[in-house]
Amino acid sequence: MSESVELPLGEKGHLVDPPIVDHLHYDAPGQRYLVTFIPDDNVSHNEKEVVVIAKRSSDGKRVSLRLRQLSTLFGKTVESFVHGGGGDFSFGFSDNSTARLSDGGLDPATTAQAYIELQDLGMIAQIAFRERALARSGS
Amino acid sequence: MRRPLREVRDGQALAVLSAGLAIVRRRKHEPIDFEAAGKKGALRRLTGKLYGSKFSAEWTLDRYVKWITEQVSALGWSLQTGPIHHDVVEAQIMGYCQGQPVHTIRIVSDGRHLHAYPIEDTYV
Repeated sequence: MSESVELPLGEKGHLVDPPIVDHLHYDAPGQRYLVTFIPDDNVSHNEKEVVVIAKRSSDGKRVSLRLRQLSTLFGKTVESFVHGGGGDFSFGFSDNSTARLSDGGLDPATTAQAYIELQDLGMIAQIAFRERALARSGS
Repeated sequence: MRRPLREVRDGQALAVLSAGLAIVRRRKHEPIDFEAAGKKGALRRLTGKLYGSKFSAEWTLDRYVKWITEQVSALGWSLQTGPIHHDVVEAQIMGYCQGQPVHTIRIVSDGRHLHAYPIEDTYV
């Protein structure tokens, strides 16, 4: 990995705050979303948590809606994305192509809309995670 | 011929293990110029939650893939294991987290994908 020595992108870009989706992928065989996210410190001090969201659940429908919104913004189907640090994200599309939010392929207004969808996805993941934690503790 | 690992895009598979789990590339945890970051007073921020902890400079992508492969094989994880994580403590510095050198690496599986990153040491 020592090939990468430059400082990370994002310092001049949009700022995002936890909860942030770190990695989201649709697992077709399992009909579920696999979501790794960066939680707010009030929820978990861990750098990341993982939550699995069934596609047919209410949370899953919310995730599907946001992914459809992102797909509309990019003009192709988003299958997965990862957080690249700071305000940067990399997307994987159904046609096997990829794009980074920092590539500048989207106009500023569309980029701002993408951040709204990404923040919503982070919140959906964190709420799902917290509800399960509360259910486990019997609260 | 196998594609050089450094050409793999962020979030894409570096390798797929025989158990079916894919090791994905996560650029935000890859080494940075720690000296330059320290001089700018940015090391804590650039190795914190928002930018991600970083592996130390000795970690090449080859080493990353080989190390995770060995650890996960020993743990016996597979597609049937489900989401899980495991922490490994090494004697030497493995990376930086919140600006501090750390010796612990967390391996995370979401059930299909694997990646690893340095975390704060919890032992005394």
